[in-house]
Formats: sequence, C-alpha cells, structure tokens
Amino acid sequence: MEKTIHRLVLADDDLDDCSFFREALEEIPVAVSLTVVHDGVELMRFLSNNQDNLPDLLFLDLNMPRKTGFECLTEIKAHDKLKYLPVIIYSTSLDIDVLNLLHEKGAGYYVRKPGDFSKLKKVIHEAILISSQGIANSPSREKFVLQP
Amino acid sequence: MKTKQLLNSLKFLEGDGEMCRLTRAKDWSKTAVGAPDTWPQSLRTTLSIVLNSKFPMFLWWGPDLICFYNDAYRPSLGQDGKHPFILGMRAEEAWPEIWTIIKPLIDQVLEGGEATWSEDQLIPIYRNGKIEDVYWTFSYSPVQDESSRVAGVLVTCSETTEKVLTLKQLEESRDELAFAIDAIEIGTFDFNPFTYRFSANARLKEWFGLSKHDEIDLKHALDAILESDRPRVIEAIQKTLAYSTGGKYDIKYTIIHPVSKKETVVHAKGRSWFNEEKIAYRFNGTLQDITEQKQFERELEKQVKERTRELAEKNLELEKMNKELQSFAYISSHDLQEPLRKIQTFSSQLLEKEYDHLSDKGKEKFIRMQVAANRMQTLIDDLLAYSRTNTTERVFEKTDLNKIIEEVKEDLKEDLQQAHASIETSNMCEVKIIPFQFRQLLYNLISNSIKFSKEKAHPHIKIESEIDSGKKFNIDKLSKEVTYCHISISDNGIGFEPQYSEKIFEVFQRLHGKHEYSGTGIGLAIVKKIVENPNGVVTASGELNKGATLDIYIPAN
Repeated sequence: MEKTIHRLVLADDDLDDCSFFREALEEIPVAVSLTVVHDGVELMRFLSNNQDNLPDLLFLDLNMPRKTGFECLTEIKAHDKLKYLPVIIYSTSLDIDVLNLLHEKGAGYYVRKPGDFSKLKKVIHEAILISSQGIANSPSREKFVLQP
Repeated sequence: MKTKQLLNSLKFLEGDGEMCRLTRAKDWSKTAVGAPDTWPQSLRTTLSIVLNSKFPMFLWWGPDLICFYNDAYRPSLGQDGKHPFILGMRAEEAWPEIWTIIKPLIDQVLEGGEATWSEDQLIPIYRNGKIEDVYWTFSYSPVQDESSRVAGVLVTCSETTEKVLTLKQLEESRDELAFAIDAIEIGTFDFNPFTYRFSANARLKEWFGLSKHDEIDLKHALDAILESDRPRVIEAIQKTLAYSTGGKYDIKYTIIHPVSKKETVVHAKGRSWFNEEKIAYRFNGTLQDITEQKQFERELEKQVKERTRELAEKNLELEKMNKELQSFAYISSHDLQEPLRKIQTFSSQLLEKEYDHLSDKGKEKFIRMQVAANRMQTLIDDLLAYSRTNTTERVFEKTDLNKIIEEVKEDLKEDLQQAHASIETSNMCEVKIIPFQFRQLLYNLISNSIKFSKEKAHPHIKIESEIDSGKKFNIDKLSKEVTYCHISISDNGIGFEPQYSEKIFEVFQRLHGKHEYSGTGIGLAIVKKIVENPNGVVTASGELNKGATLDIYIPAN
C-alpha cells in the first residue's frame, strides 16, 4: 500500500535537535510539512485534537519532560484511532533492553540520532521512504533499527 | 584331802582359757591379795564372772588394786606389752602411762560413787612395743565385799579404736570433699522428695539468697530462678524424680539473687535415688557457676552479630555504589552522548557548508577537533560496554570456539587484510560461555594483536585450547578440583615489559601514548571481566618486542 507522506510530527524537547531535524528536512528532496511539539503532553493533546485527521508519520524522542516518549507510545498504541499512526523512535541512546521493549510495544522503526549531519539527512530520508511504502507499522526485530 | 579341798575352793578358776590357766598357775601368795584359798567369796564370784565372760573385762581388787583380766580383754594388750605380767600387779605399776587419767575414775568408784561411763575415749597404752593411741568405750563399776565395802573396780570395756579411726577418716574425707567443692566453686544440694525441702552448701545458698542454716523449701529456691527459666527447671526436676526417665538431671539456668539482683548462670547436674517401689527418696547434685563462660559466649555472639550487621551494611553500601555506577553508565550513555553528538553534528554541518571559509590552520584545527570528539564517542561506547559486562545476566551456552573465531575474523576482515595478518588455530574445544561476550573478548584480543604489531612484520596470531584439571596448570587462582578449558592467544607483536602483566588489565591503563597507538585502555579490562564472570582466570605474559600471550582459563562444565 503506497502512501505519500505529507505531514510529519516531531516530538522532541531539545531545540538543537529540532533545528537539526528541520534543516535536514529542508535539504531532503521530499515535500512535507513539519509540526514540532516539545513534550509528551503537548504531543498527546495535538494528536487527540487531530484524531480524525492524523499526521502521516511521527518522530518520537524518548526523553521528554512531563510525559516520556515511551508513555506516549503506550498511549498511542492503546488508542482506537491513534494506533494506526506510524511511530519512529528518534533517540540518542541505543540500549538493547529498551529497544526490545519498544519493538514489543509496537513502535515502527528506531532511529539513533547520528552525530554526522549528512547521515542525519540520510536516515530521515530513509525513514520517510520506508514509511511511504506502508511498512512502518510492522517491521521485524532485525530491521527495527534504521542504520544511517 | 587338803589338796582336794583346795581344788574345790578354787573351782571358780577352772576352765581352758588362757587367763584361767595363767590365773591358776600364778603364785598369788606373793601378792597383796594372798593365796586364792584365802580370797573372799566376793572376789571369787566376781573373778568367776570375769574369767568366764566373752566380753572384755578387767578387775582391780583390794586396796592395792591388783589386776585381773579375761581372755576377751587380752587382745587389747597387744603383743610385746603388758600381757601377761600385769596379772596380779598393782594398778599403779601396771598402768603408769595412764594412771593420771584413770586414777580419778577409780577413786570415784571406790569412794562409793556411781559407775562411770566413757565412750570412745582416747587412752594410749603401751603395747606392740610402743605407746599406741587406743580408743575405748568403758565402764568402771564398784564391786562390794561381804562387808558391803567397795573392794574392787570392775571394768567392762570395748576397744573402739577402729570405729573411731574410721569415723575420723570419714570426717577427714568429708573435709577434703568440702574443700574440693569450695575450691572448684560448686554448689551442692540434697533434696528430699517427700518433704520437698533440701539442704545445700553455703555457696548455693548464697547464689539463691537463702538463709545459711536452715533446710530450704524448694518453692523458695525456685522463686530466685529467672522467670523465663523457671518452668524449664520445674519440668526438669519433675522428670528427674520420675523413675521412668532414668532420674538424671542436667540443665542450665540463671539465678537472680533476690536482694542484690546478681545473676549467676549455673549448670546443674544431679540424679535421683529410687527405693524398691521405684519412688525417688533422694535427689542430689551439684551446680556449677558458668556465668563467665556464658558471658564469654554472649560476648562472642554479640560480636559475631555486630560483624554480621556491619558486613550487611557494607554489602548494602556496595550495592548502592554499584547501582550508582550503573546509573553513571546510564548517564554517560544518555546525557554525555547528547552534547557530544551535537558537537559532532554542528561540526559536520560546518564541514559541509563553511569549511571553505576557514584558513589552512583553521582547517587543521577543525579536523583535530572532530578527531577528539570521535575519540570521546569511542570512550563512552567502551565504558558502556564495560559496565554492561557484569550487569546483564546472560545465558551460558556450550559453544564451539571455532565458530566464534570465524565470526570475529569476519568482523575484522578489513583490518586483517590491511595488516596482512594471519590467524592460526588448532584443537579448539567447546566451552560453556556467553557467546556475544566471548565474541567481544576475541574481538578485543585480535584487534590488539593487529594494533600492537611490529613495524615491517606481518601479525601472526596463534589460538590454541586444551582441557585439563586446575591442578595441572599450576596457577594459584585456579581451584585444583575444577576442570578448565585453557585458551591461549599469542602474537608476534611488540609485547610488553613483564612488570606490566597485571596493570594492563586495569581500566584506562595504557602502555603507549595515544599518538602511537589509538585506544581507550578499556579493551583488556573488558576481557578480564568477561573471563571472570564465569569464575575464569586470565593472565598475560610477554616480553618487549617478542610478542604477547594471553592465557584464559574458563571452567569447562
């Protein structure tokens, strides 16, 4: 099922990371709009306000104030409507146990924030492309981590 | 005729006894009593009684107190003594050694007084060639003549030396026992099950705070026993008094002096004595003061408890520190990586977009900054790997070492090719290990061999293994009874000076400058942790410029 990605949401409290993301997105040859929220509570409010008109893809940071990315993921996957939203985890760390848990909870891909800007562009582009092919909701554990 | 008359008159002297014969044979005419035919009837009658009696008797007759005695008395004179020559002798001459003792008694009788009675009296006499201490129970009684005058003193006596000496010995033994009991600080008791009262020595009474002289009610004594011990003691006493239990008493308890409240811990031992109806008629025994011993035990116990508590506290502290370390690892993974990643991202953006605006010097500094940032990244990654080595619980699997070596070779393919390195393996055995950890271990060791190779020499790495008992390997840290798989990895690299063979396993220990050889100094620390996780041992040996060998011993089962 092909699906064009038009609207992205980024949930990340770190302003530097938000600007990296926005700058990278501007340099990728895709036409998308980006909504940025800075904590989990804000994210969930945004999503429930738009539950009949959901964004196409969510990049979700884990360490956020008020409500963590992990809590958000749990709520989203338990929600009748929100559960169809593809979620890509977007985090600094790479902990095996955390990865397993996230995969189990129904996260799509896992992107580790790279330290190299060109790699960042590459991995975001890759994530959008894969999601547009409609497979972000059901990757196998081996393919869970997207390597830049 | 006269002779016959004489014989008739001396009929009282008939008899086969020694003293009868001696008395008959004696020439009495030379004594103060004169010849027998002149003796008054009273003397004859008395003498007849004396000589025929089986009870020891003695007679002093007349004003001179002439001596007569019978066979029963004779042994008391012993051998080599007064027998037989005191027969017919005056008392004063016969008994000079005791004359001062007996004269008053004799006088008392002679002067018309009553008979005397002396019991177990010491009257030393000469016999058996010496003066002997002899004890007597005796009575002096008056014998009256025809004119109702007291003419003689009849002595009935019994030597009681043996009895007295036995009693004396008994007394001495008792004294000795009391002394011994006193010396070893033992309390003694003797309980009468019929009256429920007991007697005891002074020490026991002192412990219980009981009156020194009286017999004691058991109930009274029980009141002085520590309340929590009391039911136990009562039960033990009841058991001891029951025939079916064997009558043995053995119990430890605490006495509290009713006034001073002084505590005495005692070990009581005793037994019951049963009559034919199997009823206890006596229950006696001893109490030993074990207060000091008990205090020592308690002190020891207290100290053990104290130490155990301290250890537990230390353990908690260690656990806490361990958790702190783990959270430090977590912090380094998250919080430290984030700013570092940003530095790296910003610098990559600069490199991409602004690099050309920099001067040559600026460009060089910029590149060096990136190298430093990357190095920090490696450090954090290695630290995380190190801290995870013991925190993660992994499953041990029986693994073919060949397989792991092949995987590592694949991972290091490019490095191996670049360095023209070769790996030689032989006799690889199967070991129970955590595969991903062991892969990391071999990866670290082989990369080290490549990294620390000699210039102009191709690295050659030799991996061997064998299985044998700890006894055979001659390494202190190995248990002799355990079977180990010994894996040795040796290379032909730059080696190291032998004095560093321990130090190289410590975290952050490096033997070379960073500009010579890259690395964080964590690799071998990780190796050591991985090996020690399943109680293994790792040692390193080497010589400068002659290669290094790592010996790993892992329990085979």
